[in-house]
Amino acid sequence: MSAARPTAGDRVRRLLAIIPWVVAQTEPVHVDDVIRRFGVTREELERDLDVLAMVGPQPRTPDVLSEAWIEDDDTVHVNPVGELTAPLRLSPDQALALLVAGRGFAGVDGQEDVTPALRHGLDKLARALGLPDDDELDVEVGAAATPVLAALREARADSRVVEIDYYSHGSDQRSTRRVDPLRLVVNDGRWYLLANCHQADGERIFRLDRIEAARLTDQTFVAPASVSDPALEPGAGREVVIEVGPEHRWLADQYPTRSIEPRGDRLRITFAVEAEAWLDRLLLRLGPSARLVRPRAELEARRRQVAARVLERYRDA
Amino acid sequence: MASEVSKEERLLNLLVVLRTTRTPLAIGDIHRLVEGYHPEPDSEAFRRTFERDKDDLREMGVVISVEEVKFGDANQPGYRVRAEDYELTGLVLGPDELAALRLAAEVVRVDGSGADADTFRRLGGWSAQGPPTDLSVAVALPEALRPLIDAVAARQPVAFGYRGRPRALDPWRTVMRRGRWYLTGRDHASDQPRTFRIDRIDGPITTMEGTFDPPAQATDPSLRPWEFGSGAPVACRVAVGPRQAFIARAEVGEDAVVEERPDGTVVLELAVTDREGLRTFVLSFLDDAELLSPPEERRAIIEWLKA
Repeated sequence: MSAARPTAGDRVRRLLAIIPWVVAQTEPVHVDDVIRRFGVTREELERDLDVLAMVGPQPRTPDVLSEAWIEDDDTVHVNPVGELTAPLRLSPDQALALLVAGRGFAGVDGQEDVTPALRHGLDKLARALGLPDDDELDVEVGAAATPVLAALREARADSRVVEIDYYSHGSDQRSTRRVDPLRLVVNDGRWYLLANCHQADGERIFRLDRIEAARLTDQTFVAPASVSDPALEPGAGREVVIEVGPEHRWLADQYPTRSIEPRGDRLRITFAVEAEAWLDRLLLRLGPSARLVRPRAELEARRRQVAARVLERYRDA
Repeated sequence: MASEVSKEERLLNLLVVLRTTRTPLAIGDIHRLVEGYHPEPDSEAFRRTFERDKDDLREMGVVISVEEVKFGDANQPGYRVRAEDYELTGLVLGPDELAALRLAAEVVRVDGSGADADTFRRLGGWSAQGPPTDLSVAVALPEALRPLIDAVAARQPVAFGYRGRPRALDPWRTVMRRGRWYLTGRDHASDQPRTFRIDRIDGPITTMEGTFDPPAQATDPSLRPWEFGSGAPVACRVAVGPRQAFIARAEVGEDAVVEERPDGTVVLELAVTDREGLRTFVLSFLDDAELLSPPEERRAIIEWLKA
């Protein structure tokens, strides 16, 4: 949430949401309820209610103005002018965002989370947006092997250590490790596991599509009080510089690029190297039309080595 | 006096007035009905404040429609907020449904237009226990999605620029896969189903005349680079060793598996229309994968490696 001071528009919007909610409650509403639910301080709420008390149609005599106050027992009372009692419905943009969130959520495996209430809510949103069929807006937040995701979620829920068979893309290595699963994150369409790795003795991030299997063990761990979202941006690595034809411009979309410089009709791209095996793949993909600029000797040798390694496979052609 | 009325109060009163009116209101009516403006209706001060208030409301998501009204002999702009612009009329969500949507929105955070703090407030505020801590999903929502969804819903063809070229399409569905949004529909120029990445649409999206009938069967956009070309597909077989076999299988799909060897190597058959896509796929497994057939593709990849 932004820390910027709320504008008058923000405050109006907030009030327009609080009023119908308070009106709709059948039990007396405590001021703390409103504070927690709507993210306001007591001072802000009192100010908002003072504003509300002045709202009403002309001639704005006391009998048509809204009423709003906090009782001595800290309960909140509002008696707003008619137009403001109606619960604020969602705007079309908000409805679309919720439909996306809801469908994405429902698509995450763990079908027990898809309650009838969610299904009905999503149906209503879809129909309100003019989309009666499921197909017209399809949301899969990230592809993940169902058994792996389910096992990790279960392990996390029970605070159980998990043994994973993992292929590390960066180092082109397979390993089996025991980890404490802390958090599962989808970012940019991929699932990640943030876990405390016993082997590395620290927090590590694992891409789920590179975990072949996950097995729950009998060992438990103590989950930390809070887990922050892992930084998924590539770290500062070393740089390599490569020159390619304009047809390879898409490389900058797909790989972490520090800079792109036009050189005549070609492009000089500086990449940040995430991991060594990543660099091997890039070199194989570029092919002979790419000029390896810096560090030239190392990159050329490297390309020869990795190409030779792959060519071994084709020996008995 | 204007100075005694706070801005919030004036905005609320203006909003109430614009929402309750059945006919568009001219600026003189607004001056009469809403307190907090400069006392002189013809003053520059009033007009300026009114313009800023309109901007504030619009920024809040309120759509203020402007229609012509007859005022004496002349026509003037008339303002009001139509319910169908401001909120989805006919959408009534019960408390359970609101709570379920709120939970979904707390887990799946949608960036871009839409699910901001105001959305949560309209859902009845944040839940007491907060979102579950084991799962966190971030989804981006491109600006172009909303107009495209509207066109899908209304079955209206659309025109847009795509990587520099103009396209026209009957939009059938929007799909989100692996963090990217795709639009699938009938491309007018080729009369074939085509898939577009929504983040590569440049320029405005305009709706065209007429409506279309969507096909009965939905098509999934292909995410496989070796299928991006045109022309008849060539069957190619790729062997992937046990270290990465599971990754290849997940990427290509189980129905592409034609052989499973005892050592854990898997052989996949791909329908290829794009040689570069095939080569990229095979080489991404480094020395764990081998292109087995057809002979001309195998030769081509060997040449590539030797160059």
